[in-house]
Amino acid sequence: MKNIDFQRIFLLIKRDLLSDKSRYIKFMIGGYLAFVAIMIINLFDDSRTITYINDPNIDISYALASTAGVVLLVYLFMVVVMASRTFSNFLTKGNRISYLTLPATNQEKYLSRLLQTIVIFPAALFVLVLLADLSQVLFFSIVSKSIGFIIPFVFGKLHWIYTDSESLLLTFIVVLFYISTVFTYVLGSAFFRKQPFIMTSLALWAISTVLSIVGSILFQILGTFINWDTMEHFFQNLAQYFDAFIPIAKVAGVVIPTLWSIFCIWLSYRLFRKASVIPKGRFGF
Amino acid sequence: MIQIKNLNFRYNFQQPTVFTDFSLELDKGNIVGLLGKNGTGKSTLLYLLCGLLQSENGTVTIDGFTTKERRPEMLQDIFIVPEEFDLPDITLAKFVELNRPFYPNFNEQIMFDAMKEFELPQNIEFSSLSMGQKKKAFMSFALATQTRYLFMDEPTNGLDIPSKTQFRKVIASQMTDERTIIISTHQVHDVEMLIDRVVMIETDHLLINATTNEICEKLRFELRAIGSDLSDALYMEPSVAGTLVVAPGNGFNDTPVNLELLFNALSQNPQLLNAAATH
Repeated sequence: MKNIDFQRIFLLIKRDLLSDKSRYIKFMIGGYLAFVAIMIINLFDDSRTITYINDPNIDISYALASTAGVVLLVYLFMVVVMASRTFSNFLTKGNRISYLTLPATNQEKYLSRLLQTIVIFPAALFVLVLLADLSQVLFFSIVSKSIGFIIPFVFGKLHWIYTDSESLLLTFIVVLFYISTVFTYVLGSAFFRKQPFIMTSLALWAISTVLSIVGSILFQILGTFINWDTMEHFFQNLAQYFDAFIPIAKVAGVVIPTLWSIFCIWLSYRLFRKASVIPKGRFGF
Repeated sequence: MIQIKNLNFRYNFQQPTVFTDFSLELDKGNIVGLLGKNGTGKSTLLYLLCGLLQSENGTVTIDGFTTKERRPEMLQDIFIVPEEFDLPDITLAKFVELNRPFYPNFNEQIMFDAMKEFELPQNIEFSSLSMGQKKKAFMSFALATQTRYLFMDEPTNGLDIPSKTQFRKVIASQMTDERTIIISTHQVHDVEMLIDRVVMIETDHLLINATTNEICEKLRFELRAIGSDLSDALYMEPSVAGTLVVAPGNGFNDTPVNLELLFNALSQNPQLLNAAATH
C-alpha cells in the first residue's frame, strides 16, 4: 500500500469537515459577518472624508485601499489562528483514538490536516471576503453611496509589485516570512494541546525576550573588548558596507524563512508520527 | 495472530513500568477476556495493540505488522471500542458514509442487525442518544467493519441489564473463526459465558493465558455447603450459601469457569494451575 494515496487524503478531509460541519458553518457565518462589518464600518468612516477633498476618485481609492489593508490584516491573522488549530482534533482522548486508528498512513493524516489549515480554510476565507465585498457594495447601493468593490480594486493595483525585480523580491520575502509564521503556528499546534494560538504567541514572545536579553548581555560583554575608534570608523563608512550587506540580506531573507518553514513541517510531522493516545508529557501529542 | 515479545513500557520516566519483558501470543478465532486489577495495564495493552502507544523495547505485531507503525493495511483490520469515545453530532447514516470507505469489508446489514438486537432505530442522530445508546450504536458500527481484530475496553460499562444480554448475543452472533475479539473488563460476570480464552495480567506480568476449556479441565469451581470437606481446595472464599472453592479438576470440563473466583485465586496463588496439575 502506498504511503500517500490522494484518494485517502480526500476521504480524511471530507470526514473531518463533514463530521464537524455545524461548527464550520457557524465559523464561516461569523467570518462573513465580521468581514462585512469591517468593510462597512471602514468605508462609512472613510467616505466622510470625501467631502473635504475635491477629487472624489482619489478619496474613494484611499477609502478602498485602507479598507483593503484592514481586511488583509484580519484575513492574515485568521489564517494564522487557523494554522494554530491544525491538530485541534487531538484535544480529547476519544478523538485521538478514532483519528489515529483510521486506516491511513501517518503522512496522509498529517497532510490532510495541513491541507485543511493552510489551503482549504484560507481559500474558504477568501471566498467569504469576496462575498462580504459583494455585500458591502449592495449595502452602499441601498444607502445611495457608490464606493465600489474592494477586491477587484486591490487586484487592479497589484501591478506595482511587478514594476521591478527589487520590489518583486521584497514582496516574495515578505510572503515567505508570513508563510514561515503560519508554519510556526502549525508547529505550535503540535506542541500545545490547549490554547495553541495563545501558547505559541506567548512562547514566541518569551523566546524573543530571552534572545534580546542574551543579545544585550553579549553586546555589553563584547563592548569591553571593542576598540571604539575602529567602530566609529566603521559607522562613518557604513554606507559603503551597506551595499555589500544588501545581497546577503536578500539571500538570508529567502533562505531563513524557507529553512524555518521546512524545520517546522519536519518537527511537527515527527511529533505527529509519534503521537500516542496518552501524551507522555505536558507538551506535544 | 497477535504477538507481543519482550515488551517494556511505561508512560514516562517519572511513572513506574507498566510492562517489563512482557510476552503474549494470541491466535485467531477467540473471544479473549482480558482481566486484571485496576492499573495493571489492560487498556494500555489494548492501546499498544492498536499502535496508539509506542513501547520503549520489545515488539507488538498483528499479522506481522508492527503496530506502532500504524500501517493502513493493519489498521483496516483492527477496530477499537474504547471506554471513552467521542461521536460527532451527526446522524448515524452520515457517520457511516464518512467512515465506511476506510473499512473495505464494511457490511451495513450487520450493523442494522446488531442495532435491531440492541433495540435501536436505524435513523439516529448521535446528539440525541444517551451514553449507553451511543455505545450500542458504536459497537454496532464496530462489528459492521468486519475487522479481524476487535478490541473492546469495558464494553458493558454504562449498559443496562437487558443491554448486557443483548451485547453477549450480538458479539456471539458475529464471531467467526477468522476473528479475534479482546474484551477488557472488570465486569467479569457480563462476559463469563461469552469468552473462550482468559488472559489475566497483574503488575506487569502475565498471570494466565489459557482457554476456558483448559482451565475447566484443570480446575473445578464449586459452591460447597457449610461443613463439606475442603481438604482438596486450592483456594476458597466464604459466601452466604457456603464456601466457594477452586479445586483440582478431573480432566473433564464439568463446571463452568467462575472468572471472579479464578481471578481471586490466581491473585493469591499465581501457580494455581501448576498446583492443580500436581494433585
